[in-house]
Amino acid sequence: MLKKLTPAKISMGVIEIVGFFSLVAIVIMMMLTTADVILRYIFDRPILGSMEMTELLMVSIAGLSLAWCTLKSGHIRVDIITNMFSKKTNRTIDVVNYILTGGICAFIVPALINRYIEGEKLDLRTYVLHIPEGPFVLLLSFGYLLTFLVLIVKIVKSMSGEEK
Amino acid sequence: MSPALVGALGVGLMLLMIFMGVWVGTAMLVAGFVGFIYLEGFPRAFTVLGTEPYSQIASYVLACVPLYIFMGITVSLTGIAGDLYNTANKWIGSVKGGLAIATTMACGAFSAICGSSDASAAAMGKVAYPEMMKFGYNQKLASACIAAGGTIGILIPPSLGFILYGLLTEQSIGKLYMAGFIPGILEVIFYSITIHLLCRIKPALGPSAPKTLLREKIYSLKGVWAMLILFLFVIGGIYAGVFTPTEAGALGAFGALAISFISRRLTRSKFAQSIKDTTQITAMIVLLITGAFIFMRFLAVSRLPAMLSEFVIALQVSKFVILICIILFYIIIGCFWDIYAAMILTLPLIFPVIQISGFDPIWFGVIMVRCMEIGQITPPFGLNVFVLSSSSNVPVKTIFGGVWPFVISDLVHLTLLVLVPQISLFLPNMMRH
Repeated sequence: MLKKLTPAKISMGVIEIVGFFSLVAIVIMMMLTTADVILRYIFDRPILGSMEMTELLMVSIAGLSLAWCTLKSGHIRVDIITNMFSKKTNRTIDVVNYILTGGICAFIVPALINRYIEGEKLDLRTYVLHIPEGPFVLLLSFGYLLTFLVLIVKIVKSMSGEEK
Repeated sequence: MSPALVGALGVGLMLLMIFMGVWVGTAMLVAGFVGFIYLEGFPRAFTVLGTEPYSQIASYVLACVPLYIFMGITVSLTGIAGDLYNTANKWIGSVKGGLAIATTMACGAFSAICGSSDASAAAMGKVAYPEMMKFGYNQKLASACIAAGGTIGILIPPSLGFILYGLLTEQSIGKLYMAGFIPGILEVIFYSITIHLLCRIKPALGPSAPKTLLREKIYSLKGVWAMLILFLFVIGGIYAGVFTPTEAGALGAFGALAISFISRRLTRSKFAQSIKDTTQITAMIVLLITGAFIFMRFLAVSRLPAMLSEFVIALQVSKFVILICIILFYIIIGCFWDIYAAMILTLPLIFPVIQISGFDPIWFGVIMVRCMEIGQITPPFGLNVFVLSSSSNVPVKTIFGGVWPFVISDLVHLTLLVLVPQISLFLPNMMRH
């Protein structure tokens, strides 16, 4: 029997899938750099532009994993004071935290889109392989947008007492 | 309001948010962005918010973060901690306090591959603690040596702490790795001497384990030699300038995967787990780094770090007095804060003071990491103590009761590192790159 699909469940599913691609990006980055070193020292034929590909992969990993990490509440916090508070107070603090993070994400998304538009005007590309930077700026922006969505779901869940 | 006062208020706002439980990365982002709007106006702040998250993350140096994390997590999931302990135990277990010394040595070796303090403490807690209890070791000594040994993880390369320090202060990560190597080995020696002395004074604390034959000793190397060679390959490669720290991270991760697969220690589920954990920690670091750089841009505009440096010079006190104050500051915040958060939050203000005082930035990186290591085992919030307590079910109070000899050893070790900078700088100075 099909379970009822809510927008929140669909968003979470999308985030899990996007997170999976960040796992793939890490493996590609490891393989690429390893292959570059081996080819350089053994065959004297390094992979052209491997350094800038690694940089772009790093952006991809960040963009694809940020929402996932937020979903799992994996960010660092200092809880020496909040541990002394009641559960109810901590839930309020969580909501404030999510609102602040969501608020800053709401600024970062258009700021990165603006950076993309400016970059497109200047036709910003990498030095060796001339890969356009624009899609990667957009990917990072997409990551912050997904993070924003996760935080909205978290706010709703915290307020309704669903989130522990 | 003067820009420096705005800077100080920005620091205050950020600390307030952090203590109220806001994520550290978010607190830095919000305080940096709001402060920037106040000082430079919204359009400029908006531009910074669009450039920094991309330019700081599209970094070849930052790419070594997921690679080393992947290497460390892969290795720690394969049960190498048990083999390292078994090997150290066979070689040194028969001396007074031998099992505890073996634990410390295994912690050092595990750190060399894993690079994380709490992971070392958790892994050794599961392996070494039951063994020491079996031989009638004192519970305080057994648990405290694991908690203290775990701290070596952030000093012996590869260390995530050094990567963050290098990123934030624009220092060579390769040199920082080399700078932590000898102090890390010295730390193992200091702990071993401490344990041996304790057991000489009170033999009941740590009885000797049965003697082993040379054949058994050599046979015990079977499970660890490949990983130790991998470590030497990675660190040796950086030292010789054969590869960059990022390349070394990739080779290390690939090598760790290959060894684990060949030795059939890494199942598909463990592989999936290691890569998931890597991604999550990387994303956490991404938010921290983004927040740190936006906050640093704001501080630079406010001129607060420059004014703080000028203030320190105007004090006309010896630079060593300043250094002692900074060391005490880091030991204290190390007791309360996560090392990475503490580093990212304080470096923008402290590092300019260190530079203007004429201290070597590589050497200071070692000192800072060492100070915060001490905080990981001291009350009230020594992270390693809590991690060990949850992995071995030893009460926190018992572990804290046993750590004091190790804290004293730490302070002696730290004093030595401060008085003889060459201990840290010898290897980096020998590097050609």
